[in-house]
Amino acid sequence: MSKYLASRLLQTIPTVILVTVAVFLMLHLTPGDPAEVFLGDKRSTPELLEKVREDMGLNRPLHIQYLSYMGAALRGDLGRSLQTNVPVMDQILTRLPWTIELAAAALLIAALRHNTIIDTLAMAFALIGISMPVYWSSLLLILLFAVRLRILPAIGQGGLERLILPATALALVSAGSLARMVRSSMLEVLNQDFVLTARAKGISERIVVIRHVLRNALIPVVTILGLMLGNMLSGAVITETIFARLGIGQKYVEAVLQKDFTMVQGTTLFIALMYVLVNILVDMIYAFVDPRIRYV
Amino acid sequence: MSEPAALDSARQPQWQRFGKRFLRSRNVMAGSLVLLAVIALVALAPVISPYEPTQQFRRHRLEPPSADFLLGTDNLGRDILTRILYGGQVSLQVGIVSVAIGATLGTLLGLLAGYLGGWADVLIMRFIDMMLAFPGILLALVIIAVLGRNLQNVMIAVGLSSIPVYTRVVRASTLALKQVDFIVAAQALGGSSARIMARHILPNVLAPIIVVATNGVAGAIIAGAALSFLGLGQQPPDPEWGLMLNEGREFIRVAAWVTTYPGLAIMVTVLAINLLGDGLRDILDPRLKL
Repeated sequence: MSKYLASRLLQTIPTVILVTVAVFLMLHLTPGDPAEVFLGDKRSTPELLEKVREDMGLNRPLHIQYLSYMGAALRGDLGRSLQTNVPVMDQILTRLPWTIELAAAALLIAALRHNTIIDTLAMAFALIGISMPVYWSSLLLILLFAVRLRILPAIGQGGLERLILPATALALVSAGSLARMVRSSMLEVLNQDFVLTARAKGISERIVVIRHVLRNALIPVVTILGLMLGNMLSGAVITETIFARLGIGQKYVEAVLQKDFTMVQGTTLFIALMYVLVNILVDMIYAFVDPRIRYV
Repeated sequence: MSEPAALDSARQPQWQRFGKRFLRSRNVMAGSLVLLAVIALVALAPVISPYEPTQQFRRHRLEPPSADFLLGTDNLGRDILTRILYGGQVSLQVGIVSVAIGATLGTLLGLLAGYLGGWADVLIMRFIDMMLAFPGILLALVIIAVLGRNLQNVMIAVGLSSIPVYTRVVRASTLALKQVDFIVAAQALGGSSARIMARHILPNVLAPIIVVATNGVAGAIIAGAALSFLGLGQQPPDPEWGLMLNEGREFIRVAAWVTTYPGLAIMVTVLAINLLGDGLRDILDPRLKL
């Protein structure tokens, strides 16, 4: 097990390094001079540009700039927002809890939904679920529960009643793909010989499904939990915007719209690394659930 | 060089079989009929739409559906039906162009990684891993942050961020194919890598690519409309489905139709494409899942 974990962690290192390089280079890949990008729409004079270059260390060689950016990032310093001058890390940390709350609630709803017995119904909804963009289902939920029925608030955060609508909207998308995934892996396991053996032994179909099929079918589902979190994060970008929740996704869109480059850079780095970490965790759970993985 | 006649006649029944299955599959038929209808309506927008997409009827703001305005009007008194028809041109274009970008580049990388192996494989797959570290629409957002926001960049961003799917599928199929006798024979005959990849491997990995690309168009339409919804793609006053949803958002309390119909248009189109994609998967490649 520990050998597997070590190799899994080692494999991640190049990915993490590439991610940091890519995020660092973002600013330099942008058309135009990074200093001009930083100054944005403000009036830029040659002196001002030179000062910005000096302040940002843009005159130094690229690899030195990268190392100093990463050195600061490792100490939790992702620079300051170009718009508000607040440290990027502070903004991320104040907004992160709202996003985590949203993603966790949505995962819970999605997971509870896929276990319902009415599988055919779920499957019918599954295709509609993945065909329904989250921005539209969000608006429909607002229309139904906030405008027509007036039983839930449409926007804002804090409290369970403000969590239900955005979490449901977010869950609908993932519930669809989760249901499809569970179904196809169930069907695959049902065709295996050991299921035939179990049935031949004469145990009840319910026990066959619960003890033999479901356990094996859930293995591939565990791996997509990591991907689901990715869905949640990118869905949060949209649901947070619609439901006016001050989470990390909403901040991200705002930063892209305002060309707040340090903010985009810092948040991207933070989310990408968090996502990589969660996927390592998921792989560990995977190896724990399925012993075969560890020995490959 | 022309192909041997024997090969040609051997190929035909396969296509006939495909055609038969195509006609027999309910999913495929339903999906393609709806999709054809959508394409026809959208393509004929200039002919069948009653008004101009940006034409404003100042006295008819936020009017509910009526005989004059079949799907109602928005806050500027523009006909929603007209805007949906014209907006569809943009959404479909985004779907197709981004898939073309993603599928071409992704397939190329997958072929190279799978066939050449070794360092090429390691480099390409590390690069793909890096792309996968940015979940979902985030990668597209990053690309737009770098390139600037407009419709063209939306297509590039959505296309580039779909590369990993194609690369993975093509690489996996290529790895399996590489061991097959006819590829080994082609190598033994001294065929160059480029020629073997283009002439022998590519035609045999087309089936999964077509399946992934079909569902990819649906995903790209959703993603493209999402970016326009967030204000990063199509800019007002031109219509686009995602943008229309965003513009109608403010008025959802008084005029639900402004947001309901564009959303419905997205859903019907995407559902049709997904049905078609699922059906094609069953026909072309039963092993491929999701």
